[in-house]
Amino acid sequence: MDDDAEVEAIYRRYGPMVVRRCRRLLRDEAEAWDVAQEVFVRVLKHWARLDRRYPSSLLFRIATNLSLNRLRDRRREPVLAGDEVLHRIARREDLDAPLLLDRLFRRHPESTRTMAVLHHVDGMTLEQVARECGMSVSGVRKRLRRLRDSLETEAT
Amino acid sequence: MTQAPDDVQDWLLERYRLGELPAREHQQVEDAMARGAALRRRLEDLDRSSAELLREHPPAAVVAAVGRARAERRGARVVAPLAAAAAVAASLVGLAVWAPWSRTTPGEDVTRVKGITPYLLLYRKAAADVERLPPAAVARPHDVVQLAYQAGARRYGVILSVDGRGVVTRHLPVDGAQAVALTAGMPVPLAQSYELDDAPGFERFVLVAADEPFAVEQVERAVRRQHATWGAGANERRLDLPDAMDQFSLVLRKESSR
Repeated sequence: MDDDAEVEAIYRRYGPMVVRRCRRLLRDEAEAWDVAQEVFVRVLKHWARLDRRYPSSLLFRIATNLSLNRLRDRRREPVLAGDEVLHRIARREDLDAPLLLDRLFRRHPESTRTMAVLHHVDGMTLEQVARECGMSVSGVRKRLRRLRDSLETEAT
Repeated sequence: MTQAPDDVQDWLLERYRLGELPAREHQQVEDAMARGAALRRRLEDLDRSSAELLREHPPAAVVAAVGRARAERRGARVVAPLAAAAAVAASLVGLAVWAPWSRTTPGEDVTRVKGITPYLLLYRKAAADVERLPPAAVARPHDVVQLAYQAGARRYGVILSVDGRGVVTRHLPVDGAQAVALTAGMPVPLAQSYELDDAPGFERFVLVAADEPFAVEQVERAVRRQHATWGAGANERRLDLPDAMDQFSLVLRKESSR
């Protein structure tokens, strides 16, 4: 199979999942498509060197990460607030919630932010998040606890 | 797709459909499927959604973007050919900009996003708001529209429109023979908004972008030639331009004045 045919086959298989993922987080069709393309460019550029046992997992994680970057750059309302703590912060009228969340997320590694979304928004268990991110369950738990602590500190 | 009360999250269903779940989770979905029809319907919805998405976004753009990224990684260089300049007609009335975005200021640290195809955003001013116009949206004479572009990885660009009478209007640059340097980063609104005139049928907006400067006339000629040959049918076609140039087209359907 030549390069283009391989890319096309991979896109046909995984493209819809990636676009849906970006759509869900970004809620903007053009931006979702934009980010989805970037996901494939990033992943397929290094395709030959990747562990390809479960490409859907890798593509999903990168789609999540790049969509969150786009949301951060957008600096608009926190549309992905699936966690109760995030909701609570977002509802506070006396705070600039998007900027607060932005500031909080900047204090934590990007991977923590992705873990938080996988767990709180997508409903993955800690074990599933750990598998997705290639970490131990206790490592994921620790990171999420640290994030939650700083969210609660900022909210009070 | 909605989250159903069957404990099977969207991401799990996606992986199930792709056959990339570990055995235990695969069985979990199978069991849920056996318990009721709701999950089977979600799976059918997922398949329908996939088919629609592939129709809306066929693989060509991704194949091209990945090819470019791989070529850039190998050190290849894409050069767009140059051509002579020409003047254009103006069919739209230019108005002051009212774009809802903040502009990227000179010197701001921005990054060109490798591999992203440039695209246009089109907004219409409504009574007290601004609405984003999707492709094939219906527009009417006197609607006031605002264009913005996302440069993606490209450095130079031209934005034109052509109406149902075949009249071509320059939007970027308004004057000048060469494609302008595009601003990277967030979508960039053009300096003017436009009031649509009473040309019938359609208004097609075209963005052409490349890594090297090119002549505006090259794009104008391609637009004129295509619309002279195909009329409204040209809207579905790519302009006859070198592959090294990215093209994005957004067509509004025109209705007569209310």
